[in-house]
Amino acid sequence: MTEITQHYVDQFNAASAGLAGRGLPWLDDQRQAAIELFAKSGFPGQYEEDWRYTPLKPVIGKMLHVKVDSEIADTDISKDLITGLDAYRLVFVDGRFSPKYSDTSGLRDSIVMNSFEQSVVRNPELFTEAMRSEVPLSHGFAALNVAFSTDGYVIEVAENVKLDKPVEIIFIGVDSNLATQPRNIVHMGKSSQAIIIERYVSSKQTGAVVNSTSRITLDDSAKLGYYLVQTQANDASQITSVDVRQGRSSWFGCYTLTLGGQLVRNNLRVSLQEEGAHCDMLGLYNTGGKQHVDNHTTVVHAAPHCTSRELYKGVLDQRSRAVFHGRIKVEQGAQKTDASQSNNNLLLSSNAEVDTKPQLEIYADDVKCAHGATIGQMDQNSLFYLRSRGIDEQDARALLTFAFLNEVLDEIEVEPLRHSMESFLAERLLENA
Amino acid sequence: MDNKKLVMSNSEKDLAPMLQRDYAEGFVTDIDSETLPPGLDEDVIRTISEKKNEPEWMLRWRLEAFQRWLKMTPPRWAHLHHPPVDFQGISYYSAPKQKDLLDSLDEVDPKLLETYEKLGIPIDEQKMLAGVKVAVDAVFDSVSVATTFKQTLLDAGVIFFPISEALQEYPELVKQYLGSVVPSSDNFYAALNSAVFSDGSFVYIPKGVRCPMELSTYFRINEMNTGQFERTLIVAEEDSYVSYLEGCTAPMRDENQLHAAVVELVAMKGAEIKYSTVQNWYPGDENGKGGIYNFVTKRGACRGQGAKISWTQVETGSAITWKYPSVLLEGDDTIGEFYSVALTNNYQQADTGTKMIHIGKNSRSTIISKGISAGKGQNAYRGLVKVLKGAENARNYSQCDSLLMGDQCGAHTFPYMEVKNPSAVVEHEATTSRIGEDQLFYCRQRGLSEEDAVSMIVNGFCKEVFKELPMEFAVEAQKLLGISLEGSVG
Amino acid sequence: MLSIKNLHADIDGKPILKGVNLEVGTGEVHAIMGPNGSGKSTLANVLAGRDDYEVTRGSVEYRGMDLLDMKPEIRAREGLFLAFQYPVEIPGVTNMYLLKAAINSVRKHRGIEELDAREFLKLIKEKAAMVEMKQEFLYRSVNQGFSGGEKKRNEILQMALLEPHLSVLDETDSGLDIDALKIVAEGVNLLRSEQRSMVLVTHYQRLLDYIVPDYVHVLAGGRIIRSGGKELALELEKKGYGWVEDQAAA
Repeated sequence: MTEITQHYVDQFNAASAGLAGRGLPWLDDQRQAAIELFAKSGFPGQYEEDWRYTPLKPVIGKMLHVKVDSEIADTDISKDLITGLDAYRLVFVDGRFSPKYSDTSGLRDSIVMNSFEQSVVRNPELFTEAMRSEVPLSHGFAALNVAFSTDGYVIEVAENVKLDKPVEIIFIGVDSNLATQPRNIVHMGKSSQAIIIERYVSSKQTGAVVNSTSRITLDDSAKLGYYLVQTQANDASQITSVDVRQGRSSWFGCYTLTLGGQLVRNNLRVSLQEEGAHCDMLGLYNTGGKQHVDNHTTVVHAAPHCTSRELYKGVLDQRSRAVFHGRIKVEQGAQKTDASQSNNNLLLSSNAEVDTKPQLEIYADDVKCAHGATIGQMDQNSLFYLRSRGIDEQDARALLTFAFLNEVLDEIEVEPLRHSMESFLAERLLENA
Repeated sequence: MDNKKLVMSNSEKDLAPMLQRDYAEGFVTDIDSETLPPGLDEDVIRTISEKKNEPEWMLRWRLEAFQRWLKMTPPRWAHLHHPPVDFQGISYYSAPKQKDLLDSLDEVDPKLLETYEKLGIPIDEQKMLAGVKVAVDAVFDSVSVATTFKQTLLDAGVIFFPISEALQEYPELVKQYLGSVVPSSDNFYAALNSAVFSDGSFVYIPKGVRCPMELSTYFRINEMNTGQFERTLIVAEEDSYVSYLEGCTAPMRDENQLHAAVVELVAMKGAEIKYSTVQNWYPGDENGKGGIYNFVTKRGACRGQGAKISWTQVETGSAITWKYPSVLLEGDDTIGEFYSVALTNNYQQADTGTKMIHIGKNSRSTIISKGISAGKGQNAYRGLVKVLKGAENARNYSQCDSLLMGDQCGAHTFPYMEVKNPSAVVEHEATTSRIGEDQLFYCRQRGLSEEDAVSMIVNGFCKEVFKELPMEFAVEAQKLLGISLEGSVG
Repeated sequence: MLSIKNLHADIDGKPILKGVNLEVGTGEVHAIMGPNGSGKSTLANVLAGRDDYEVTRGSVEYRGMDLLDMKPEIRAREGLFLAFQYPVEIPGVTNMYLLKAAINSVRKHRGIEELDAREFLKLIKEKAAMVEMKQEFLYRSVNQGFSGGEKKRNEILQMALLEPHLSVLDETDSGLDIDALKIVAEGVNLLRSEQRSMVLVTHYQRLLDYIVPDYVHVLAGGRIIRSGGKELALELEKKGYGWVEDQAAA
């Protein structure tokens, strides 16, 4: 066992007895199996195909503390609120639920919205089979998260219920050098509808790491818009593992918007398990400094007549680096699949780097699958055109970059969120141009 | 869930058998051979080197490669499944009994001449059709048995020799370039080849010379339980040009046989090398029994400004194909091209593609890959486009299309793009399709049989690659896909 | 030439044709008109042998042969030509190659010597001129990147080349502007002869201004509900399909 693996195993052993939900057989079993797996496999290395482009030093190069106590630091979330966004809100400070900053007033009884810790302690019967299942422990990070299962959010929307406004979840980092382990669970009942905006912010430079997992289950005809918004400080890092299972005729729209963080690695896996399911996977990243953004997506077409569409666009400046690894897998029998995937990148600096790996793995013949990837620079003709119309070069660059990303921004359906992303980007692009 | 009903439509189940073909090249030549017993150790390598009367440095090079190989393990990343190869169960040298060096074709065993005649390979200069000038190096198991037009080519300054002979005649030239593009440490199979390679072709085109005819090497595996480990080295000096073709066949056998070749190309300033392959190794039977394991390392280096290397391959044979003909675009304004058709039927598996490494400024590369999967065949494209920091204005365009025939096969695309220069433009596109019922019906309504319609559509799909092949090979390639095709290509 | 008796056909178990009777004599031109969804295109496709359709009852005799017993390519080689409503695109296969393969498969079937490259080229140029098709289209992939009009013209070119005994033109006028329609119609008229029969399937009377039929039939609900001379088409134009449908129901 490496030193860093030992470091986390020791912390687990010390905290284990006091973790929330002790005594629940399913959770005890999961924790035990997960820590054993983690102790055995440790963290992934760059010799592994799935991690070859991901330098994990910012995450595993330092001994961080897993926060297991429930003490909550004081902070100010007002500057992190999105103007005009009317939403139910759950706030987690350093990975622990803070009722003080949260607001779920007016929420109907048919909707469960709570923290993982409170749910396992006070309401363990809530955890149905679907909600107990963890994300696949396909790498050490997922195993470590499940072993701790400290806190996170739990949302269950009952059959036919449509949420009247979005749910906003804010994870704010306050204390330095913590490794938080949020475990999130979402279950959408038949024909239910919701929008979840999961945001990661920092109150200051913290050097912290968030290692989150999210298990999302959509029953037949459910609809979920899921926004993962990463605007944390540029010395904070994050590994996310989101696993989605879709039922018949359900829709899952995933929007991954990454602007902050030092190393951000998003693992997204969507499984279209029954006929007629559709998913949209959109991603946007804009990086500078020494940021590293790594999106690993897999969509599995396990049933016939499902469709998926994926579009990730990124703009890289300075010494930053982006990785895109997209995989479409069409299983045998998944006929009439229609899947598309594209990844487009704009490189603004000679020190930036893009590694992209779009993949198709197809075992059925009556399918329509296409993918494409581009890496390029700003179109010099457009730039010249704008300048010839009197726009100065900096503004012209910012404008063209913005236009490039707009294809993804345009798809954000929550207007206040879109506006806030637009102004965040506009500000940054003008500043960097 | 029962998906079966949706899976089969009326005519698609009949498509795959149309790609079945008789393997006409599957015969065995009954000839006395000298074959080393199976197994590999330093003594075997010493024996091979001795038989070929090699210089001392060559033996040392082989032994070093062998020591490296011992420490390596076979690559596991490819999308391929096969039982482990027993490297001690293979014979590493087999040659038909004849004099080592022949002065004229008259001394070649008539059985060998007959073999090549049967395969349609012209090794008799006299019998060649007027106008069709192709020089042939015929490699039979571990040795070259005949090389045509050697003298004609020498008169033009072109060296086209079996590599074993080149080691005798031009040891310094071989020494200068051997392993300079594919070092013996490159990968498991390249290391193995470097230790045991037996024959192959050596081509040297001097400065400013346009090679007066197409060069080709024809590889034939005949003996049982032998592996073929050929080594080809082509050097094109400044402003020269050569077009080189290679073809391969083997008898039908129930055992898998190993073919692990290394091909190195060096193109200097302004030189152009066009390398075409029609690979038709025995693919195994319809139950996946037998067939060649084809593990090949091919790489070219565009060393000088404006050099160009173009790989074209039509891969229809082999039980397993593992090959990635690549180009190192070292000089400024260099060009790399890769055109590929790979067909997998029955239980065949292919994991093939290319690497384009952009190092020089304004370097350009094009990748066109067409994969056809039928039966239970698995076909993967794997490619890397890498733009290094100094490669200003590098350009790459890649297109990978897959055609699926039947619901038991697989088509996979694994492109890697690594770009470290902002002025680069790298584009990749891939699509997957099958032959449409409506296309088939349209052709049949015009009087074509279903077989002809399928052939025609498949060839249309491959057209962009076939048009890169020299005429004679294009025809052979089309025939290989089971098709008579005059006129639709070109 | 063609004798259709009580023809019933299904698609995916859903009945479309419900007892069609039609006699087409040698040299005659018949127009089959009808509202959308009446089964017009189904009839055309069943005649050509498309296997998405299942014939459940009835018979079709073509030049003394049992048409339903023949594979699509045999029907084609025996001189039955379908001009498609939506001509199919075939990437990478030149128009020229398809045409040569087609004409030679027909000739071979009929025991005529196959055309060599030179003879074929001469013939195709002649026919292309006849339908006013630019030669460059011959060298392009089949129907790929063709406009709607070009595709339809290409169908007529193929018809001219293959010289069928019976041509079935499925909505040849759809998607054409008036100039394109005139050119296509002219091509068809040039091919009219005493030995050749034609079945025009169309929704609109417009086409019949340019190709004047000998007989007009109205197909509705999977059956021919009325037949008449060319004047029937004009009456339909004025009164609409509702008129005959009501009459048939009455």
